[in-house]
Amino acid sequence: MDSFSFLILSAIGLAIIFGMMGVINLAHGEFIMLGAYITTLSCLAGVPIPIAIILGSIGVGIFGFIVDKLIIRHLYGRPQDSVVATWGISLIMGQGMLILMGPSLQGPSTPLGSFSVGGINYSLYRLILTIIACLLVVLLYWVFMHTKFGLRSRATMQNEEIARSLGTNTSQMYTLTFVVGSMFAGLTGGLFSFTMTIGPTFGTGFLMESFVTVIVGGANPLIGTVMSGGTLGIVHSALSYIFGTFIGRVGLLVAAIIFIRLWPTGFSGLLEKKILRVKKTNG
Amino acid sequence: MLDIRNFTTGYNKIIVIRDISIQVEKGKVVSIIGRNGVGKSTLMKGVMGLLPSSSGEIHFNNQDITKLKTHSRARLGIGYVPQGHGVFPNLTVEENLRMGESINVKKKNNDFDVIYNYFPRIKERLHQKAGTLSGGERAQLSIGRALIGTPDLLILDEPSEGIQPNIIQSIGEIIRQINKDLGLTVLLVEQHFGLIKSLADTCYAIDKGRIIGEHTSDDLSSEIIQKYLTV
Repeated sequence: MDSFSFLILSAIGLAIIFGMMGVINLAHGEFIMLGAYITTLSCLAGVPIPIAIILGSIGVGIFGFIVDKLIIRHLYGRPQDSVVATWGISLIMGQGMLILMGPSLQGPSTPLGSFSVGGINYSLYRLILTIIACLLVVLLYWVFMHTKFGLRSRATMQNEEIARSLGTNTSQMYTLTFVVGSMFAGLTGGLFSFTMTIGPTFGTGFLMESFVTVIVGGANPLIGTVMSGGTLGIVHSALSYIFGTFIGRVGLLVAAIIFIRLWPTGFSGLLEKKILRVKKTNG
Repeated sequence: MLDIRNFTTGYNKIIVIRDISIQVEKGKVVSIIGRNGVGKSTLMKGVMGLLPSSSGEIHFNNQDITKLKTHSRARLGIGYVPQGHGVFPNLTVEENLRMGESINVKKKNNDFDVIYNYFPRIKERLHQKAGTLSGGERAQLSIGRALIGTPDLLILDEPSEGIQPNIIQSIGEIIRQINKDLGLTVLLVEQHFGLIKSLADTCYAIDKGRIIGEHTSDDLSSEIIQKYLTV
């Protein structure tokens, strides 16, 4: 459960931006780090925890808006170029934070304490993280499937030129998508800021996992991410529980490599193929 | 309605359309004919702002739209049916139709029933993915999607492409009907002889990116159309 929420939360912002815009945001980890800093600094200034987390999300959203207007909007649909540019952004953010705030920041400890089931202690906060991850997935599904914004963004993803010629302001859609993706990164940083040591390299712990989850998930940012987050989460936590965290991480990567070798289009590609096959056999 | 003046456009630095002037009057069906690759679709993309103009002007409803972005042109009331129909394959038929609602922001009466009257097949398939439709159904969906937004001008880029002959005829009749019922102005790019003959009030022939002939429906004979379309 814990791995599931970690993978889903760290991947979802990245998945939205990549799936919708074809932009690979290598600074995703640093966006998460920025969210953690904003949340922690707000907490230290006396802001209640839930509001501090929301502030982290909004702050990174605003930062994402500025980055989009200055840099990303020149890179829509250019994955290779976006990798180089966002890598540059990540270096500037990481080193900038080191200069500004020093190597580490002491934040509040994990709130809400713990509860025990059958003699094993669980952190209540981590349980809440899992619930939040599930709620966010449901919320995202609703936004993308049942709102006008969702319809337009799905259409833009499929054929940007046609969407534009039907009156949809696609560059505005891209900016909004990048801001939403950034807000998710900020939220993730805020949520996990209470469970990990905060420093300029805070985000790198998320980056590998988030990319692996997105790649294994495939083209559909929602269904793919949930499926791969779920599967990889189970692999990771089972191995970590039996053999320790190191083997858990190794197992996660090995599992990802096997999945990609077997199904190069990821889980969502596999699912689409299955659906098509069922439809064909039904007539 | 639509006034294209000395318009030049193309892809990057390659000029495809040179110094073209076309007038489309309100309520008329104007057709643009020519063989494959002479620049008909390029011209339509230029009108929609999908390609930048190198020189010349485009006026729509007495407003200069040459510098406007594509989505702003659509919102002024231009319904565009691209070549190959351009349906969103992974959206349902209903979602495809709803994407047309943003056309012509001034008129907000998106009446789906009007569309279902013209295209009853579309209504039967509302919840199906557009990617599963046949060529004829896609053409109908694409035209219906543009009409949902109650445009003042409908641009049709080879609606007959990839469709079986009997369906082409029925689509032609529906376009004529819409033109009469709604007073809708139509700019039609076509290579299909019958469709041009039955629909066009005025016809411009294009070759190598320039206009080489202009005809009204009275002097538009089969021989003339054949001459422009023969390789």
